[in-house]
Amino acid sequence: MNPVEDRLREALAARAAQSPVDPDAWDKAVARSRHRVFPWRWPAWVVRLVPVAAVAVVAGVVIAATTLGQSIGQGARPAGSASTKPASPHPSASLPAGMASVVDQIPPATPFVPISLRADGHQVRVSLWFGYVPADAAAGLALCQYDSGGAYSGYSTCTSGQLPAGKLAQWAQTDGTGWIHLGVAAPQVTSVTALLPGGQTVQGTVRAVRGVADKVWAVSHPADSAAMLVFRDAAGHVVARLTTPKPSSPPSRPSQGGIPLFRYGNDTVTGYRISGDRIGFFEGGSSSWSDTPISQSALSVNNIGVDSGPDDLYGYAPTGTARVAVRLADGRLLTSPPTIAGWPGSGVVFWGPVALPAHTGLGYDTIVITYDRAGHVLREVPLLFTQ
Amino acid sequence: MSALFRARYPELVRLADLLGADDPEDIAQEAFARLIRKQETLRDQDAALAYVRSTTCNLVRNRRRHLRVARLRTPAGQDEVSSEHAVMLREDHRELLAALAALAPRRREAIVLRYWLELSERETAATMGVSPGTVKSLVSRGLDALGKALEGKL
Repeated sequence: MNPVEDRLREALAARAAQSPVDPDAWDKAVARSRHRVFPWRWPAWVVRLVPVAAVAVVAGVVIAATTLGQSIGQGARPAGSASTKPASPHPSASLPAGMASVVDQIPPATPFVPISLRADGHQVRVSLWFGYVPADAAAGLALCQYDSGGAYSGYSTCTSGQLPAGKLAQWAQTDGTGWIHLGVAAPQVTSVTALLPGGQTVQGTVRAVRGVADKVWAVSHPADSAAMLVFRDAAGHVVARLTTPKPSSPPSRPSQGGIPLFRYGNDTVTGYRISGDRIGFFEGGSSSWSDTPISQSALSVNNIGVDSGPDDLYGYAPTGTARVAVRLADGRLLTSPPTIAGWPGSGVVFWGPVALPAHTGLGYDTIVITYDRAGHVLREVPLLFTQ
Repeated sequence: MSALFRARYPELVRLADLLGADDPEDIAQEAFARLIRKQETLRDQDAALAYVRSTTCNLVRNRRRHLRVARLRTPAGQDEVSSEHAVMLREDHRELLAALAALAPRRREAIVLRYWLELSERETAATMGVSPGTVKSLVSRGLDALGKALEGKL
């Protein structure tokens, strides 16, 4: 028997014995179970109210969404969007907790769009909506999702809802037991199909979103395989192709080629190039890695920290970045030391650490700012739009 | 259902706690609330237990991932509770649990399911929604990382 295994059993048992248990837990769980399940369609009064509120409040939800819808397809910044942050008409109190938390922070600018699909034997409903990042509406729309059903229940997150200039489709994924890929596609896209190794295909769903020109889509396929996603128009012509990476297991630490970045505790956080032209960070027994090749990710943010302690943020950024700062919701600006050069020709530099004070909340209104050597701002990116 | 709750709720709270949930009771209650909503579609008691365990793991994973991007509503005093626990634990346990907390989430999950709940590789795989081979790899790498982190301390 491995001595670590024995110690583990003892330590886990000792720790578990100290967990307090609420005597009213049963009543609370029953009360929760009676909460109304997520309303997949907006109540009629909300639908009626939205345009009224939109007109009444400067440039409201519908106008903003339409304007943005016309612009996001070209990757342009939404004109006037900074003044069009919508007041969410959605009664978030009636939503599942995980979804309400996101809705509160990124108020929907469009109705929710439900897409049902089957993933790993479970029927899953993915609800998608576009919303603004309150602290930086000019940064564009966020595409938010909430998954319900099977092992996926409760997953909720947001990513950039804007198609970069020239791109016709982009994707995000659910980090569940299998894979649910979803994203934004250009208006002409009418279908999405996942091509799997071995010739299997899985048909996905493409949906229009009221008030936005671009569409949303979702498709699932078995875990442990990569897929080619093919987007077609109504005539059957291929509009775009995306390759999703094979879900990765924790990478092994390469034996050489690491770039030491900073000390953390008794160890050094070190960046390595790992398979698939990705970057992995290793520190002691812990690792963090990107599923996206360097060439496809402009700015990465990782954090390191134990559960109860403050975190340090770090990552990589394009060459030319001399410094990175993080602007918190309360306006505090936390600046990193000068960046560290990456591997020659890699196109990246490393930044960090940015030490977060204890109990700092990183919200959807946290902004990552990159600077050049002259101190000019290169980019301001909401944290949730980084990788 | 209430019998299952009485028998298993503390276990689910502890599981969520060991997996690093910031509010283990909240996670366990939510897992049971979902089970109550789903109970008519479940085959039997074993399926219910498997479902609620799996949901707990999934909720913790999502919560931690969410916290990675958006650290929200960290309950005031969480550190104080942790410190209090730390004082009550033996030094070697504390070091081991700290090393466990620093592991990648899936490694930590696999290790807790295997060595605290004593689930088999197959059961752990079913709970995590991965293959038994992945569990083997996660546990092996996790133990290796723990061993290295504790070198000279055991």
